[in-house]
Amino acid sequence: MEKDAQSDILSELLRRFSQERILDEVMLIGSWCLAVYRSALAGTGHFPVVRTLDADFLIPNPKSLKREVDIPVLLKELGFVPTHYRSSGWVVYDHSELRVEFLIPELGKGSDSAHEIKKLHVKAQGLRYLNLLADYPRRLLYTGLSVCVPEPAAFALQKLIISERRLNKVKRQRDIDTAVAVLDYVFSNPSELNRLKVILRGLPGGWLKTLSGLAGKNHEGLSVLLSALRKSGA
Amino acid sequence: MPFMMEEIMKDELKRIREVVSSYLREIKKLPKGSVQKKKIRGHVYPYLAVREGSQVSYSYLGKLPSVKLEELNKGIERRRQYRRLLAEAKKNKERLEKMLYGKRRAV
Repeated sequence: MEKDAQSDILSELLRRFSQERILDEVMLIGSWCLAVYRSALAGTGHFPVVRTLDADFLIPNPKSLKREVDIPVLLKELGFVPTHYRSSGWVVYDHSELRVEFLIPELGKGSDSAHEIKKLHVKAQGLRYLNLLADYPRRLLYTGLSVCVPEPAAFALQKLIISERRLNKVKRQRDIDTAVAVLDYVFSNPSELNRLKVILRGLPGGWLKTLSGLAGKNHEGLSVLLSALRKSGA
Repeated sequence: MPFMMEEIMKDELKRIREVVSSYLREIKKLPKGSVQKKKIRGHVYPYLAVREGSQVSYSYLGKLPSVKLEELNKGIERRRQYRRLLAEAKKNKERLEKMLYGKRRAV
């Protein structure tokens, strides 16, 4: 529950991943990205402090992992225990202060069951729209380690897109609030704004349509940007 | 906003309940007690000391290979670590329950 204890455990976990040389193969996503943004990016007053207890690790390319590491053993040494979800076969790792989950981008027709990542000995859940994060990585310094996180613009856009698919109203609002806060940072920084334009140009039409609907209601700046891009034919 | 906080806390309570049961399950799998070495007539003999209520029972471990003995010690150490983390998880659970539902009185 104490935020410092959580940060300490996450830092220790990242340090162990770095020692095993798998920190380059995974991407930290979810609300913990905000902690990384806060510590690494200038003018970070924009990022909300709220973060969940889940530390989500995205494995962008499960088939091209270079090293074999027994992650469950590594986590056990840090005091994590596995919690099994029998219906899907998914396994998460729990600590009294933190939960570690492994995710992969769900492509094609998808599957309800968990995906086994043999080289890391874990079972990951496949989720839609994670390829948007995987396609735009950025390495940032967090607790002295170079951690891979999604670019803030990609993070915000993905949050907005998935908020539309949330059934839980509270989680939907939380996603939108987080996205708006990160977008405020993106709009205040010219280089980040350029990255946002590049990312928007690469998005499929359906995703842009979803974003247009949401941006109009929640972020005037994004709405203006989207219509400008549309007019320019991008 | 208060409603949102309540939902976050409810999610967290659900998770922490899962954590408690996962720790209890893992603790059951691990060896109990502590390894104690007794020196008898110049020779060292390993015993497993286990508390049973008010009494402590010692069982001779025999001529265990050092690897096995190390494994047993590691298991015992991990059990202690999990028990400590279980206590923390239980404390967090109680705190969350109190924040969400207040003090419950026995009827």
